Amino acid sequence: MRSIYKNKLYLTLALVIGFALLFSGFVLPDGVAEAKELTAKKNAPIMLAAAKKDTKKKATKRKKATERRATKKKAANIVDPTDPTSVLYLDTAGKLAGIGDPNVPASASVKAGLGWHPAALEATGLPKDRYGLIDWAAIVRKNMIKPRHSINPNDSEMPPMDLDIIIKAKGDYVNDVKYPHWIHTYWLKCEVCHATKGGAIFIPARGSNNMTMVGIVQGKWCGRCHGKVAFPLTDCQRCHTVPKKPLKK
Amino acid sequence: MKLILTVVIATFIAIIAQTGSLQAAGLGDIEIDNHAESKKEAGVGTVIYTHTQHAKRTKCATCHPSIFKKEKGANQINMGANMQGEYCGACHNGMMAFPMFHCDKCHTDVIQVK
Repeated sequence: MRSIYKNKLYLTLALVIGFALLFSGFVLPDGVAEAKELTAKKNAPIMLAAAKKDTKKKATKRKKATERRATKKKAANIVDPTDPTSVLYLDTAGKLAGIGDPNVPASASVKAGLGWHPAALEATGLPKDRYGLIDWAAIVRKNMIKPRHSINPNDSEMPPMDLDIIIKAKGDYVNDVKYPHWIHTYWLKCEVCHATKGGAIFIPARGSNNMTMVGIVQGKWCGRCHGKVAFPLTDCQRCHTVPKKPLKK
Repeated sequence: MKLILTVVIATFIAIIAQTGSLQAAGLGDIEIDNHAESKKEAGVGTVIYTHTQHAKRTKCATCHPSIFKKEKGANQINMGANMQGEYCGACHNGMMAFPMFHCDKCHTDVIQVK
């Protein structure tokens, strides 16, 4: 039974192969082929036009294909190190934070990417205080920056007022404070503190401001800026610099 | 009789448990009430030093006897010295522990400035 079955299988295989060969190598009989050639010659102009159309179509197809290839190549070369717009900004974790293309709208992540990188900030060599914060006063004293006074070049700039004021500390054991007008007026106008909207922060008369550290911590007087936009209150000795005279015993 | 007995035993157990818990707490809080006039001028009250809270993070030898002598009245603690990095300022400098400008974290009766 098995042998017969096998034979049947071979037979069918052979048949299939035979049919395939027949169809692939199917040649029209001579007479029919001649007749077809004749008809082709008769309809020559029409056929030619069709052929031309075909060639045109093929050409457009080729063009499209080449274009596609070109775009693919462009996509592959999108990160060009010599092109500033292709610069990639990484955040501190090494993830992509933004790209250097000015035409791309700046999202929050892009802005984060454009911001100071901690390593870059370290490389600037800006002076720092004891707590590792940038010491802007030292930067000014060292003439490291020259901020523009006004966008109007004709505006005259008032020079900073050089006047130190000794503010006596309330506690008996705490150093007095030397308030330098110079560095404050370097940045700010007199009116910022002495004619502030909603009441002056400091009344410009000796002894009229009853300042305490408690109030400053709560956001009064110096605490209006220090700890918010100016250096924080953490470093006591940055302001409490003038030693008190020894107490009478 | 039984009731009275049980009550007595319960009270005993409670007392023992309380003393035990006190021993577990170990150290009491210290009120630093020197320089009263100076403090009043500055608008702050006395300082309550939380011994138990500090003992959770530091060992005895961290402070005693190098920073604080183990005697009442032997340490002349004041804010000036603290600012120079002595006494409390040895740790409370904004790097190791919270900075000293938070007055109300240590001082009692801190006034609210209007």
